[in-house]
Amino acid sequence: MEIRVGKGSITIGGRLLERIGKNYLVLKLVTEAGPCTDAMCQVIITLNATVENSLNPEFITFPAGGTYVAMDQAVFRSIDRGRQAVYVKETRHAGLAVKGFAPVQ
Amino acid sequence: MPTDPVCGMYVSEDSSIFTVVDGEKIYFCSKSCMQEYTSPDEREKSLRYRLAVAWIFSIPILLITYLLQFAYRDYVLLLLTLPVQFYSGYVFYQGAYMSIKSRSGNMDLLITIGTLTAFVFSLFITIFPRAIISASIYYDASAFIITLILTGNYVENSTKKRANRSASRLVDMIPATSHFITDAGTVEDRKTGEISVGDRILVKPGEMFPCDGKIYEGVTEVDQSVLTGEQEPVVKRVGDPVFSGTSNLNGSVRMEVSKTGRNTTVGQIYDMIRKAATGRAKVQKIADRFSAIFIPIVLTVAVISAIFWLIFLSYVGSPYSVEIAVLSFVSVVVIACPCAIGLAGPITMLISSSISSENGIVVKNAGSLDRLAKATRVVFDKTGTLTGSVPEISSITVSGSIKEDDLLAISASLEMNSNHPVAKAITNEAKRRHLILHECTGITETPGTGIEGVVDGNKITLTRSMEKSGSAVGIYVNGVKMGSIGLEYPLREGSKEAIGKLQSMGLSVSVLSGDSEAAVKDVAQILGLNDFHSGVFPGQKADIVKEYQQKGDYVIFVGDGINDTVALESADVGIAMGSGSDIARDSGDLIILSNDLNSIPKAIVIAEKTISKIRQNIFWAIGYNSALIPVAAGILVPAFGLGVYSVLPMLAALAMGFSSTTVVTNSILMKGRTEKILRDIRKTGVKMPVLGST
Repeated sequence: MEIRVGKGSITIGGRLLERIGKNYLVLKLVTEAGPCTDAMCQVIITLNATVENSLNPEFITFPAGGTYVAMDQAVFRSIDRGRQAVYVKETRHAGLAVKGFAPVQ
Repeated sequence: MPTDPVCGMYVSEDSSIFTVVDGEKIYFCSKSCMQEYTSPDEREKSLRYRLAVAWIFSIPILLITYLLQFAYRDYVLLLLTLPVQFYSGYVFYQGAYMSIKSRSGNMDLLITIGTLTAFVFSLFITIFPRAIISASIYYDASAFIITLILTGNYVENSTKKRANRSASRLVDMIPATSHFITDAGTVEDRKTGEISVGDRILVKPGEMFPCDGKIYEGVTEVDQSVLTGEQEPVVKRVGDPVFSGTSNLNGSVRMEVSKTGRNTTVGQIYDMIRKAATGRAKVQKIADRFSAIFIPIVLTVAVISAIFWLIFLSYVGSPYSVEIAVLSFVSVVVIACPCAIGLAGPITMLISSSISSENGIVVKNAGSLDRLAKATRVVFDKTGTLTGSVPEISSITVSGSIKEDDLLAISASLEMNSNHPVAKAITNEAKRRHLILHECTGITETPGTGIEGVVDGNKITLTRSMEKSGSAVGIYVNGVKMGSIGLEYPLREGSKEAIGKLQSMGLSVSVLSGDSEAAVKDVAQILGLNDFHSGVFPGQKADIVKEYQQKGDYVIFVGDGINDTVALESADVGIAMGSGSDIARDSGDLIILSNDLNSIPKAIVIAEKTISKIRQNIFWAIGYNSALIPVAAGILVPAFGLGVYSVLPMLAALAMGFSSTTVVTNSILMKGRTEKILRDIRKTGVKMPVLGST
């Protein structure tokens, strides 16, 4: 199922929608230090998807076939300004994989 | 959430690691980042000491290893290695410990594993020489790994200083002392850091303005090229703003300080250039993906390589199987360099931001350079962008016996109480003609209509209306029309040229305005534009931008930084024509300080070169690692024999130490090439290449 998010979009795999049910699909930025130790090297920023039953009220929500996709302002801005087509699907081991996202300022 | 200004990491406000600068709390992710920020000289001094100790002991190690044989030689080499291993190399062990603690691999972990493997193997052979037949010691490898990597770090720091020089030149030129004017009117020299807002200072000819402020006495010409990139001096009179870092050419002036230190225009530009290194381009996603799997892959290849050589050489009966296995492991972990990948983006962004600042373009959002390079359409707001923001008087018509100057004096006497752009134009013209203005009472200004008041007992009414060519002011004295003043907003110098250049670069250009269709059409025709929108309310500008975006355009919106906030935010890239008075407050991803519209094609060229250079650096760094890791693992052995491993660990350290330097140097080269193209832009009539073409 494809949801318009500003000038970009998020596509959720079919099985995942069933799994989310009445909960929220929450998209958050996660930062981790990269292997470079130089002071100028940037952190690695990735998009993490989780299914949660409660929501930070500051998050922006988008309806998605009976459920909601929620994200913070930084995620929305990246998908909108970067015109990104993001895919969220289940992995073989019941985790969630996100493809097509790049942090944009 | 605040970010660490050194590494760009998000930091919680609960963090206890912070410092206060100019009243602002600055948070850091670690004490080392805080030390780097607060006392970078300490870190550099520490690096120099460690490097000196490393070389002082490494050279004798090398000489003894290859030239001398004597009793207890191995123990002498061990003793010489200890200071290098545990004093010079200590910082890598610290980093490796942090890496293990946070369960994420980093470069320090690889260096530590590499150098300690060589050291421990050599120590084992020293203490148990018969444990592994024909094995040699490799204290030279373990010492030189640390020495060469530290040398690479030192050279890289020096190269990065060159990259930073353009940013630091802005603050370096601020004079250390200023001529403070006391309440008694005397002048005394004080440190610039002690000057506060509201103080009055004297700036003599040939001196730099130390702070931002306003002139209250004197006239001079000022060279503002450090901010705007334009060499033409600007006349500054009483009431005109002046900016720190600009040069007072030929008049002695007195000014009242409005901003000091980091709050000055130069201070804000300096901060923005430094922050540019935290900007991200989309292509850096490749670097992120590579970095995320880098350490596990390198360690895996190192282990596989070691196991392969151990098994293969044992199978063929070579006595060197253990030695070669250890050396191949060390070579692989040492040659891998994640920093070349990690630096590719930030160093290029920093240099790009410096180049932009030298051309009067302040990059507030370095991440927007990516979208700027993809732009397909430029939408200009008309008033204040394509035209000046203050109209000029084009005609004065008088009725009856009143003289033109008297009519202007009456109008100016009333208008000097208004902030309307038309009022500014009328009062400026009256000042230029040195007309005497009269006191005005009972002033009432009605937005959209005009202003009225009493001057010398006469009721004066000025009506303001929009006409085809601009504004018109009707002047009524006691209800009788005495004349009118015509005003027009002149096109900015260079606007036609700038639009021509954008069109020759393959971009579509549009203009939008709240003015009448006839007025906007006139301007569009002069500028050679077919696409224009008239009668646009301020709230509709963003909608027009979005319409273009929905049709597939990547839109640059160029407008006034204060009044076009929504449109600037809606566009893919917002460029504001800044007055320079408060660039931190102005909206937009980029701010043009020079008010020269030719800065827009320059900004696009800089953006294109920046993204291209980042891509080049990333692919070079990935290529370097992909090509040299197999070399370290042993693909050259069939060609050069196993003897190559006697020098491979040191060569690996040399390659690793200097790989980041090549990325920094390659980024610096962008400066010269980009400036050549920017010089071509300054020439009239030069056909620009279409974006995306070779």
